[in-house]
Amino acid sequence: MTYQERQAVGNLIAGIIIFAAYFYWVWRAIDGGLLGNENAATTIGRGILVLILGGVLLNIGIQILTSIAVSIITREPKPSFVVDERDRMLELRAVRVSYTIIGMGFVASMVALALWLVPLVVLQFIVLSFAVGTIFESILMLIFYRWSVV
Amino acid sequence: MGKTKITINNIIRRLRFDADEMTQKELAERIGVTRQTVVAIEKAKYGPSLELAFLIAQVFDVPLEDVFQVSIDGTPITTPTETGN
Repeated sequence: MTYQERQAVGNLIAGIIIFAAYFYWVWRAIDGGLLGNENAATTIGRGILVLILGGVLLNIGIQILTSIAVSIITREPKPSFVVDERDRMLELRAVRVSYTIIGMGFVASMVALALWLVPLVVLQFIVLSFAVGTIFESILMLIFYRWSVV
Repeated sequence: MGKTKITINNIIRRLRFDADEMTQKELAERIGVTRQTVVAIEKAKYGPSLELAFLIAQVFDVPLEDVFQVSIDGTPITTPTETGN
């Protein structure tokens, strides 16, 4: 398994865990009457900051764990950290798809905001589009690396 | 006017075989790429940059046109020299 593949697996696991945890928290908060609270925006803002910080830390932790696990499973004494021109090109392709998904999510959220939805709920749709974009990016990177789609 | 179709083939596999059966991993390490990239180049699924192409030719000590053969609309415009054959 190459460095890029390990990184994509790590990003995917971290993305799923952190966004699942965030949306579970948001769901519970909204269920508990968060939207009627006057400090709702502050609470959501703090939650998003925790999501960003937690995501970075979890990603680093999972990257380390993935590297160790792959080394043990594949019995590679010296795992490769080579990233070459093809890897960068495949990564760019995956990132382009990710940006498209995030962009579409953002536009859809703005339409919903303009028509009927509460701003704080729209904000969750924007976060959701980031989640889908990030997870798609990791999956696409894995597909590109594994099946050599260039 | 239709789109020009450029095809780039290579004989890296044969050059590796001639170079004491050099493995894809060895070649990858010598040119600073992953083994997957060497596989993709050999299968002509990925066209390397000019820098990488020259590095590959340098490893086998042959001219660039002996490693890569270019055809435009099915007409070969480069052919391997005696060294590459």
